[in-house]
Amino acid sequence: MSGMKSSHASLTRRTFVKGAVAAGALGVAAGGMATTANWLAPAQAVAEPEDKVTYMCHQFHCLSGCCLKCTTRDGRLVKIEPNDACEERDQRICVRGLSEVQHVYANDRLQTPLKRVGERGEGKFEAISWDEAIKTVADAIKESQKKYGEQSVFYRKCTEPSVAHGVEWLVQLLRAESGGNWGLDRGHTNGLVPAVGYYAHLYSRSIWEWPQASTILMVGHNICESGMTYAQCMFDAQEAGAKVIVVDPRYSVTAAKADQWIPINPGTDPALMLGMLAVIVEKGWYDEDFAKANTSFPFLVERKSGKIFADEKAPLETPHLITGDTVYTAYVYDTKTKSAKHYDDKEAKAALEGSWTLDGKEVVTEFTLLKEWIAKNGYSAAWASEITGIDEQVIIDLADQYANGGPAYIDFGLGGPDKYYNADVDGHAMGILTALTGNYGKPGTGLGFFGGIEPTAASGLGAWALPEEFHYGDTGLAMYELPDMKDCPIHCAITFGDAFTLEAANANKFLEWVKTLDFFAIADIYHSSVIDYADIVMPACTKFECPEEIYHIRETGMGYVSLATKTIDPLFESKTDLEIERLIAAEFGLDKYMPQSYEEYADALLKDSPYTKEQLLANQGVIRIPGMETLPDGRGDQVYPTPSTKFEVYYENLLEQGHAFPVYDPPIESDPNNEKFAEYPLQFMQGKSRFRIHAYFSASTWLQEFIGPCVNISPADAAARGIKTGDDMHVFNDRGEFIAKALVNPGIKEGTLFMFETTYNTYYKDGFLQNVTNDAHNQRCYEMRHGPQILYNDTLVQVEKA
Amino acid sequence: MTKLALAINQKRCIGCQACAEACKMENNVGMGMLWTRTLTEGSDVMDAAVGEFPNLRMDYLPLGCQHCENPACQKVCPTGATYKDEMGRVEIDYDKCIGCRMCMAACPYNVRVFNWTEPVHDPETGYGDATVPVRHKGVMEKCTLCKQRTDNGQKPMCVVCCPTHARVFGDLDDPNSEISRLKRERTVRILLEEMGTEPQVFYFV
Repeated sequence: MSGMKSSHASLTRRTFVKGAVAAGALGVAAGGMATTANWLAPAQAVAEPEDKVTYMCHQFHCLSGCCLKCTTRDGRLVKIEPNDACEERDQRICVRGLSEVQHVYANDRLQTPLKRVGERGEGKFEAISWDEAIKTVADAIKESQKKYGEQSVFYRKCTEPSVAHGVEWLVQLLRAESGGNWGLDRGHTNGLVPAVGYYAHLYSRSIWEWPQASTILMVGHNICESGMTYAQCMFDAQEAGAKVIVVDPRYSVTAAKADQWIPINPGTDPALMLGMLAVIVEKGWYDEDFAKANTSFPFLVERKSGKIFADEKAPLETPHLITGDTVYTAYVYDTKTKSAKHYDDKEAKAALEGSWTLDGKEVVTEFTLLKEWIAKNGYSAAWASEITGIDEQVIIDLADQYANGGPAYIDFGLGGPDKYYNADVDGHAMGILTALTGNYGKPGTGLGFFGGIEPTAASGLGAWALPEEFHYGDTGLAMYELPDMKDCPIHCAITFGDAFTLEAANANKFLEWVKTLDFFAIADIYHSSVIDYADIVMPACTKFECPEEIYHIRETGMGYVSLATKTIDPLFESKTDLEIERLIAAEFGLDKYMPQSYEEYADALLKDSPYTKEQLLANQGVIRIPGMETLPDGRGDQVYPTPSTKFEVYYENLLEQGHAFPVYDPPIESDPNNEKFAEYPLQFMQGKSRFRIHAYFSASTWLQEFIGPCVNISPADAAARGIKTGDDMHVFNDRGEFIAKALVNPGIKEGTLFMFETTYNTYYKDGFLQNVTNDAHNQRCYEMRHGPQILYNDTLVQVEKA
Repeated sequence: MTKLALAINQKRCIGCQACAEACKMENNVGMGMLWTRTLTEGSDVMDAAVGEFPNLRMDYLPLGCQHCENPACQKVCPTGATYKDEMGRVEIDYDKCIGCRMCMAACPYNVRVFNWTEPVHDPETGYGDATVPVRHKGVMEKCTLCKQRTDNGQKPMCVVCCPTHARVFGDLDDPNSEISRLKRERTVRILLEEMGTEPQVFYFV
């Protein structure tokens, strides 16, 4: 038991030299600011303090939304545990939630409004009053509006310094731009929306049905380190007999817990899916009845044009989900009358396979076209094996297990393969696999992202309405496109949280663009990576701090309505996001359209709802949403929100792109055939850590005992470079560089690197992760629902001992 | 009689350290002094797989006081500070502890932590249950099985906060308890069984 011999190396307290220096510099510049130690020292000796218990819904950013019970003593947070008014299975917390006992008081907290006095990026500030900060921000917005128009102002509210997630007022009141395409987490969804409808990643059945499955195929989903409170569902399923199979280039915790782990070459997941598809079609392992009844496979396509053969006199009610064009009723070939019939003709016996000449046109079923497509492109298990590095027989067995093993899921995460150039192809291919095998709309089957956003019944909570004249800017510019624009129309930016280094790749380039802005202000809780680039910094409250008793109201991901009350008073000079937005809005005379307090906001939402404030407060802040007693029967009726109401597998709108059926594309950069590979031969991937939500929780000294910036490297690559665990490692490519500790890990495939998502740049010796990530865009995705995605994992680097 | 015990399902343990932090919080454990922590078996560092790619293992072993029936730590304690209480827990009377660290050397599980200096808490004002005794420089400490909670019929905080329900707490003297059933029916793993310490903490998959 060698693991027991010594305490873990990683359990020793790490020191972050640069972090300490940076925090010190800020302290000096700001002059006389309170330190946490001063702040926390009791003003005077008092009698034995009494414990006070409050309730709140915690992080929405990890998508868990745990309902917590918080104990305060003498006005300070001392204990956090699950809210025991929730059902037993929903009494949840994870290591991140527990660490908040320290994290809310962390040294990295922004304490007072700041004004930049040095160069952008230099980190020199002086403390100013809230009045000065708000006036400066408002004046800058006014000036930009006057000079360039309303749409020159960019406004992005991220999750952490925003307690009412998704609720923002000022951006609409100012008619500011908030960015069009988001570029995150919708790579697979892009390839799935035409098939099953909008929000294709959110399968409308519960993860609590997992125990009814025979097979759970997890691709790019590391549930044991991301949505940890949902990992119990995976174990429940395994205990009930389900086989969990994890596809991941890395031996992740979830891979270690799976019944089978299939290591794959990074970014080649679509080849695996297309290979499985080829096997299932070739062996006849598809569900013919399902394909005929519930999918577009029997629909006829004109061979020459590739267009769906449809009755142009019979338009369908729902327009095309992407183009918005009218869609007409497709024909199928009726084997009884040997003629074309509307696909929804109840009398017709549709053929799944075949080609015919109708109206002088050669037509073919989508299924036959798929077969030809597979043959034309040479897709097979052997072909997929070549690309993915997975043994051919393993691919055949996987296809067998998925198609013939009983009810099956494909659970894709929002990371991993979602962050490569070919994610849309992966999504489309997974959709076709699902449609072919009938693994949708039945208990124990499904396709999508699980473990975070549970399908919930409508809560009946109201909304805060703004007059119609107020709305988002409508140029549709994506934030990640701004640095590439020749004449960028954005001149003034306000962000809540670090949008600029978290929601964009290639930070060096992005921050150069930030430097060109006339004005940039940020409201944030901690000294995040982008703070040093801001002109004005406004300290925001955490979800625990509020000046009023009633705090945030929301639906939780687990199916509750939660009304939080104040846990502690605002620390330092921090303000809630509502207060900050109100103060800025007041400078424009627009605050009258906003709620005056969180209580007024809660009252407005509760007004015509099934709940009252009193009921919520009496029940520890939570009430189960009515209708959540039974699991939802999503798509149980096999009616899809697509124009045909079927599972549509053929994407006519992508004909010009050559992607009516999915075509394998290699990653754009992270590919051994890329010419860059000679210089940068390591495939660099990033993913979730159990100790952070993106960069959030970086400031937690409790969690720093377990984690700091470190890159996992294979023993072979480390040996070739003379690198040992704990060494500083210089990671670089043509976009940038950073230094982090090495962790030599046999779970890493030779030629690849893995790093947990970024942490604040002050914790690195030099640079930070986002300096090397790929900011290329897949142009094809402009023809898709969510546009090009950010290709964080499609990145090559080289490393050397620092 | 009561014999409080802990069973840990290693299959369900994802190595997340929620138990370590729940314990730290509840018991006001100082920085760098965990009472329970989760080791990656066979590895000197956390979360490094063992083996050669792709033939790998990564198993987690949460490790705290084993609350032995025959505790080696108790035998060597010269003052009687370490004792086995009426609920079957191994406890420390901090007032009697003279900081000789004999128990630390004797414990084969290396789970006792010593206050070499005044403990550092972050935040400085401390945290956790109000009734947990304060420990000062020169005193040994370790898992109490959340005495302040289990005295009152509550579960230890590590059990309450485990996100995968890998921990089962109960009374081994109650034959109808879940933990007794697990011990009877499952193949269980006892750490360093050959030492004869007879741990009341056991592992299963």
